[in-house]
Amino acid sequence: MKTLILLFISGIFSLFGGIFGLKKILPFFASIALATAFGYLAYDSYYGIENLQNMLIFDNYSTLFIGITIVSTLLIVLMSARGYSYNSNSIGDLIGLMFFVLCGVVCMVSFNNMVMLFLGIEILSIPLYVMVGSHRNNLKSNEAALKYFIMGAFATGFLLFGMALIYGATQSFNLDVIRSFSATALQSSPALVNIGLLLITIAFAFKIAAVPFHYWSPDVYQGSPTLVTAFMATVVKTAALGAFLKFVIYLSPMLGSQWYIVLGLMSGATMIFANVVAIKQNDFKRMMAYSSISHVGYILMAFLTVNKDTQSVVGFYLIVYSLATIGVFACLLLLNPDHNKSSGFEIFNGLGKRSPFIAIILTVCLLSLAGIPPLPGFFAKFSIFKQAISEYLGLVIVAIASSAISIYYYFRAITAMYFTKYDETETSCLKEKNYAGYFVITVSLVGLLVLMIFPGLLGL
Amino acid sequence: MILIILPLIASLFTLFFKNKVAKIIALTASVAQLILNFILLCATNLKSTSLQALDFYPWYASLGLNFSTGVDGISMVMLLLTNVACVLILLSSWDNSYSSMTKFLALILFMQGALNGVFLSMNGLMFYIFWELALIPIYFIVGIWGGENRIKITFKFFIYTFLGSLLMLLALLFVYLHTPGNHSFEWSEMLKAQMTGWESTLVLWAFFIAFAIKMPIFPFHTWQADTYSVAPAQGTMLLSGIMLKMGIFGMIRWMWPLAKNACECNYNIFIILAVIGIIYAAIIAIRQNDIKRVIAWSSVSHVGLIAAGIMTWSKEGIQGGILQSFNHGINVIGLFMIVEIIERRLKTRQLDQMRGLAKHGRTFACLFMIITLGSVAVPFTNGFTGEFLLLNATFNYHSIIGIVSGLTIIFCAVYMLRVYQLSMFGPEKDNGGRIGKLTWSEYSTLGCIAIIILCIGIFPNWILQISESSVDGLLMLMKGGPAL
Repeated sequence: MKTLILLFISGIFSLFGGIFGLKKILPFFASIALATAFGYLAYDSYYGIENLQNMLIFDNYSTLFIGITIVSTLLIVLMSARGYSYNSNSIGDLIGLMFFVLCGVVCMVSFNNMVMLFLGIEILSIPLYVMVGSHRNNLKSNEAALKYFIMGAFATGFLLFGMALIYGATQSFNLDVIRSFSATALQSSPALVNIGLLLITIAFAFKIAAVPFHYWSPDVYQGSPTLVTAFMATVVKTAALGAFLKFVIYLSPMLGSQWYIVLGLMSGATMIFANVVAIKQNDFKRMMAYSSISHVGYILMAFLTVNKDTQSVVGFYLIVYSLATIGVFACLLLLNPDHNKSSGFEIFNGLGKRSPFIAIILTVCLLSLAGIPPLPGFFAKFSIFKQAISEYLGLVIVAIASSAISIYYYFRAITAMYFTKYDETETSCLKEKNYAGYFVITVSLVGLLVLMIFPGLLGL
Repeated sequence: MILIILPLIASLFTLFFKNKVAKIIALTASVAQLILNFILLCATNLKSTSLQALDFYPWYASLGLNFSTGVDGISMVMLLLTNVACVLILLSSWDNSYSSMTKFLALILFMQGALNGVFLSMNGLMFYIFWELALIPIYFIVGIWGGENRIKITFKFFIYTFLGSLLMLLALLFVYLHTPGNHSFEWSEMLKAQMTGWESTLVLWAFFIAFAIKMPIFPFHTWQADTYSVAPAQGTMLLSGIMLKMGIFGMIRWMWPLAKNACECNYNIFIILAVIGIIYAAIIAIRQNDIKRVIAWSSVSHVGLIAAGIMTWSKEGIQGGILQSFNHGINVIGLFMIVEIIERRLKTRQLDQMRGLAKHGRTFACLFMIITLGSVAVPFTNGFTGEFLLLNATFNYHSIIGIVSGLTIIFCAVYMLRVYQLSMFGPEKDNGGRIGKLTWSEYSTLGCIAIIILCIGIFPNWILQISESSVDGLLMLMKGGPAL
């Protein structure tokens, strides 16, 4: 709870700081606030479970997911000074909105009442619509914001409708009540509950961008400023998956076999479609959008066999995924901080010569995303496969085949970095001393390497 | 443990130095590695039929992944090959001046660590991890320093082999799920997996395809000739000298024991494929104009014989296969070194561009002769004992197969002597290419190889003894003897 309050106050402070000309110190202030929030989080979880009127419950589960999002945000905020300098007048707004998104995240992953889930998703989404469109003079950014807003509004509609149907069957928004009702409710009005669950699943699928509800995602990722793309690919994705998983874990007794079929198909389709389409992308950010969609496909496999390990498996996956994704976007920001170049693969040409340090880190991050052993990305993928293989052998084979496909597009960037010649006359922004950017990529490299050697370090 | 970690650390360390110093450091590290390997050889009880465990550290326990290493005679020969070969390879690169040489050396050392990991690991998942890890440095070596068209070819190579290893991962997972009690990836536990004949056959095929791609056995060889000829000399040496032995080793250590319930008849198919490969590749080799391609195809042919011999699963077959893996590794490194020397001087590898090189490079011609003979398997060279054992095994298995694979020696003589004649003898071409004096590193590389060829030719027992009791133990195990 303290975390939530702190995040909210920091958000307001950032907004006002932006107005009163504290732009220079805002990123610094924000990182301290986030670090403090993380500290509070750890402190609170140490003292056990906190239950707020059965509306929000802060337990291990929520601590894990809030922790991941706060650290990801911290890394992203660190880069914001340079990464947002082309629009530095509104950096206060950006950071403030990030804090508000985090407030939404806290509600989403610790909800015990579906009203809080709805509120959380809305608190998360509305600042995001603004952030996506924050590159005001860019047509793509405007398009992305509009698209995301319309799609998001639809998804919210589905969510509300689903919740209403479930309320109709069980007369409660409280997860515990719904769960205890499940046995009888299913008999009295199965259609109501099943349709409700399906609608809520669709709404979640919109938020996590699972096939076939992913169409907004490539456009939005491509159009938004890179900083916001990184934020969406990590924090928002983690939050949405966290909320969805919590929902599934709580209501697993209610979920009939047909629901698992739907989810299994969705997972398989997501993996195949995203990986195949990613091959054809010539824009790196678009490729990363499809890559993050495909990762959702892998994670959804873990949802099919919910047991006591699921939380840690998904948590580990998201940590590794977030670290690598932030590393990739940070490298992209170092190469193109002003968004004045195209974000095609040619931006990486000859990077192995121009800046071996960035090239190595980008390589490690991409290899980890591709799941090449022994990088932690492999451990994460493998633990999901291992959980699913006894019941869903076919799906695991699909997953393995599609991760073989994914090698192709991750290696396109690596090929460009090391094997392709570059235009030496081109002006490069590698000369400037962007310490924060280098710090962030170093953190993600060190994080990945540490998780490679000591995967059990986080106790997951 | 240290055999794996040392090269990895050395490879990082090398990155901080400039060309000359880096070369010295890399070479020292690999020599140190070789010495360590000999110490391990002395410390290992070669009379014992079982595996001698070395280290065991939990790595990611909830996945069943442990850092567990063990050594026996079979892996000992492979380790020796890796570490001897790496010294030779680093020595051979002494005169090269590629751009960013340090990275090149670091990648070679990295590769050495990964290969040692493959041969030492006693945990299925760890085996897979190092297997893949070995692929990454070679990808960069070929991709960065390779010849023309390298991007496309490395891509093909990488995806091809990666698909194979994913199949292997599936097979390992499948066996893992059938291990009794709390599932485990440890080799000794995986042996106890309860599988029906059909399931075993599936596992067998998955393993076979993975290893066949790596070796490569017909019809999975299509990546090989292109990759070999595009790669820089040291890359080719790594690929053909050592990496291919991962496949052979994998067959002996993992495929056969883990899929022991599979129908024997599958091996007939495998042996026939291997024998087809022997003849097919040899015939192609005869028609090549590029020396590197000749040797690449000859490698397919030789490996086909090794694979056929091993898959008879008789004692001579396995022993011969192990010995011949070692020999082939050394010979092929020598041959590629010779190609490299010719290419450095003449700037070409085309046979029709060279004649009479022997006139101005007598020592070179002499060393080339020894290595050629070793590869043709003339008595008193290392190839003879190995191929003899292998042919003996295939002949005992089925006389026709034995006779057909015996053709390999004749074919090999044809294409190797053709290369030798066309390049070394005849009137000199007047386009000015001469061998001239060899540098000391070229001398020492070829000299060491020639000495090894002759020594093993005269005292083959030295290697055979290392692996003998382990092979006995393995055969006993497969006949339902006491578990190791």
